[in-house]
Amino acid sequence: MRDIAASKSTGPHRTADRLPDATTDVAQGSQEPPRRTGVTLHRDFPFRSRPLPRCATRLDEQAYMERKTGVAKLGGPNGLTGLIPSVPGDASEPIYQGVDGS
Amino acid sequence: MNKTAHAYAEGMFGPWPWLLWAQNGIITRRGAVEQFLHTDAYQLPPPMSTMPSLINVFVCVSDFDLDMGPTGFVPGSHLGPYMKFDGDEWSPRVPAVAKAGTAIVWEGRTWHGQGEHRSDKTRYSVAMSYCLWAFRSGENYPASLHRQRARDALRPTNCGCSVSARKWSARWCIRSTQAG
Repeated sequence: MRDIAASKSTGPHRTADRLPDATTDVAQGSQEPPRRTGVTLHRDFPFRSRPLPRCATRLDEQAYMERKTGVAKLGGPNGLTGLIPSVPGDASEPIYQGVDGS
Repeated sequence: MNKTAHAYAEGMFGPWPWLLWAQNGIITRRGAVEQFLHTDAYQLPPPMSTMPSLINVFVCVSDFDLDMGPTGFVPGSHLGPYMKFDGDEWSPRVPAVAKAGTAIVWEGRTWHGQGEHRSDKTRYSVAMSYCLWAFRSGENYPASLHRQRARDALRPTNCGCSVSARKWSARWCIRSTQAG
């Protein structure tokens, strides 16, 4: 990874020009990349036993029920910024939805 | 409650005890706008701001294509300077384009933000966040679970927290579930 000079900006400084390559080694992933870039990518993350498509379906189910009962967190005009509460029975398709307790 | 996510917490927090801060799912579709650049741990004054206090493990349940608004990062921005926004130029963010099944793990001080979603494909992810044990969790799990389920899930050995934190949290978990 090639480091680049820090910006003169008073905003967040970028010290690398790309994210690290994905790894499957937790020891490596939790040490070197985060220290340099703050980010690491773990490929083939062992996430539960159920297949990912089933997990996506489950998220949709949870999202639907949260809207139906009026406890959903939906994105407004600013997406994640300024979440709007759902209305019980709302069947619209939001552009953003947080799903609790998945 | 994922062992690999816990291993990342152990690796990043080192000897310090930690706990599950929050866990949720995120679904985005076409129309989701670009999120402003931010950190998740900006409230802390030095010296706490000089060490990891929160990490996110963001599991991509679907692909994170470039036009699906993948989270963009400013690599290395967790090292400083301390947050100060005065309208000056920001460093460009680097989108974390990833395949389904990849986890994006980042330290809470790293500047980041969701990108604009311009695709017809839906983006699914599950986020697990862990913080140092000195902080409160973002969710009151004992209060949001049925009593018996809370007792089962929040036994010290099942808690989403480090071994050292479990010793201290055991009494709290039991008391919370009894009160709930």
